[in-house]
Amino acid sequence: MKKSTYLSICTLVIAINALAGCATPGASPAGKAKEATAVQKIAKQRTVVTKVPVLVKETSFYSDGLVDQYITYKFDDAKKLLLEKATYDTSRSDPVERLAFEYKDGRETAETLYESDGKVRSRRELSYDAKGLLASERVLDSKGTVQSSSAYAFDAKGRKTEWRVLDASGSAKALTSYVYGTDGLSAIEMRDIGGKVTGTIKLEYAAGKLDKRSYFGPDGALQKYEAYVYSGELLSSLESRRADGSLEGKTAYDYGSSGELAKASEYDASGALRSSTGYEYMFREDSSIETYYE
Amino acid sequence: MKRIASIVLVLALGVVFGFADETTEIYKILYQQAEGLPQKYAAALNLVGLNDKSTAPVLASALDELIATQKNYQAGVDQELYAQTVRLLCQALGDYKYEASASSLWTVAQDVADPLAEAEAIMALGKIRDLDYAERIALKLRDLNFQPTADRDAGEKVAYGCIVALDKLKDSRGFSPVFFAADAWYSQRVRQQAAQSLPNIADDPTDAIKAILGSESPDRQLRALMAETASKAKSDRKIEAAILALNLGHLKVPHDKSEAKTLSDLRKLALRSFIAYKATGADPVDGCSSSYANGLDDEERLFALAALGVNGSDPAASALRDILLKLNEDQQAGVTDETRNRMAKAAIDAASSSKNKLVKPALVAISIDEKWSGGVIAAAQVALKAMQ
Repeated sequence: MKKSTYLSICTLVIAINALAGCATPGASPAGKAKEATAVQKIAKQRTVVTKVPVLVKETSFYSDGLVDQYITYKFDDAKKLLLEKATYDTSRSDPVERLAFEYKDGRETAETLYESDGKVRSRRELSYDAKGLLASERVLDSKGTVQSSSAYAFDAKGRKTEWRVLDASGSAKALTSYVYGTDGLSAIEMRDIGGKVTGTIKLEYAAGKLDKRSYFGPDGALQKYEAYVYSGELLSSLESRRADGSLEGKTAYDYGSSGELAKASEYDASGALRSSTGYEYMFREDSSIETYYE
Repeated sequence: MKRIASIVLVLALGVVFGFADETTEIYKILYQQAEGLPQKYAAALNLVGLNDKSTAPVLASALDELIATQKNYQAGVDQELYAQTVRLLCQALGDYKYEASASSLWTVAQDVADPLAEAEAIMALGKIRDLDYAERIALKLRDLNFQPTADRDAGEKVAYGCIVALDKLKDSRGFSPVFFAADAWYSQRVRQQAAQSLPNIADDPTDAIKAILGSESPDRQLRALMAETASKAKSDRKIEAAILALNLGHLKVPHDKSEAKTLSDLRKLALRSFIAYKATGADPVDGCSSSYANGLDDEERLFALAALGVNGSDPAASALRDILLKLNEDQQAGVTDETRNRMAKAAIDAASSSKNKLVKPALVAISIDEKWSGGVIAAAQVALKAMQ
């Protein structure tokens, strides 16, 4: 299942933590080498505080600036685990829907979607393999009946290589394979259970960054593609284009001072603004000990 | 030693931004291949769970197909699953503001015999903000307002959907039905939603409010004028409604004390509007004079004097002058009491704030009449001085 914004935030936090982790020299061979060459210097330690933006509110606007709806995010005390995502319509006082997350050993194990009247609409349950990789997930309806499930396979590097979709009875319905190149994921091939290709997505990179994502039909013909435009390290816009190259729509991104996504604006083919979304954050301070030499 | 690092994020593309990806493509295909309602529902659940706008065309054609095959799903279990699937699709199409699905959504609102699906389709039309449907939704709510539906719960759900949709559509045609929904037969939840949505529907609801003032009971007239004062309408429009309300508030003969009190409250609110929005000119004057002469209580009469003072026009100043002269005449005739003293002071204050020389002879008459208390005379003298 596709990761939506709530997972995006978790990923964001993980990505930043990974970056913060890299700042500790002793943790890597490169760090050890540096330690050896710095033998004449005195090792000292300092606390590095990393400011991590944590999304707390997302507001959707119509093209005329009128607020359509907003989403609030609630985290645990450590501001690391997303506990609840509640969607509000400006014309109603109660949440239109509420998504509650469950965790075990720091990993998400389930999310339950509630209707505005508090009734369960659906539930998604996740399970992991011994390495902590997402092995399977299943979607249940309001009555707790399994509606579909997914199973994943990974290579030795922990990269997803296969996604299998199963129906309520456990019969496979689709199989997706992932192929990796030097830059990362390079192709996604989708097949039905008879092995017939139903579509392919090819990913191209430029300077290590995703540059183009092309969608091909079962006959191998290009159907559409997405072009990624960057400003420095940050994605500044995503263009959706038809097979003939004509623009179908565009999303432009604005960022805050810490590089956090602040606004996403959607435009149609004529360049007219269709809608926009604003993002608000609180900042979490993660502390870590860093060794340095003087 | 402490170092603060602010990290510039390298965002993981496709994850942070929620782009269309293979999951979208797979679930689109699975929906298209789904046979039978349970499979369609399962596929819809996955497809909608993606929160991906690019799925909207597939969802719309799925909805069309379900509409066309509705008669195939008449059995109890099928009917429930059918309605659930339709609801899922309608909500997503509304969330994605997929304009091309508007006519299908309206068809659901008309033809699908499930109140929650009907309400969801109507709310989706509201989210899309397709004004072509504003009148139709307004009429649907108007009809529902008249009397409880055979299945009350069903009627409430649809009414709720209409109110929320009209709130989103922000079209003045939605004002009256939502206004009446706020005191219709519905449960408190629906009525509260109507009251909450009412101010959002039209920036200037004056025309709708004037129509309500002209034809409704005093309770509703009062509520309508309250809605007008709370609206974003311009001051001159609010004054326009207040003039009508005040005049109608005088015309109506109350059936009992309770109605008399409501009518007085209506007039007081109109008078307070004149003061707040500085109503000038001749139009408000007759109503103000009537409130002074026939007001239910002193408060109404005092508001009337203040409104005449703020007005400042020649007709308003003439009315104030006549009031002051009559008070003075009564005083000379020995008709005196505390209330008259209070009215005289208020009328003098109003005359002073009118800054209109027409009131001067009346102020002079009071200032030299020793039958008045020292306080009243002093007030008249101060007012005269201020006008020089």
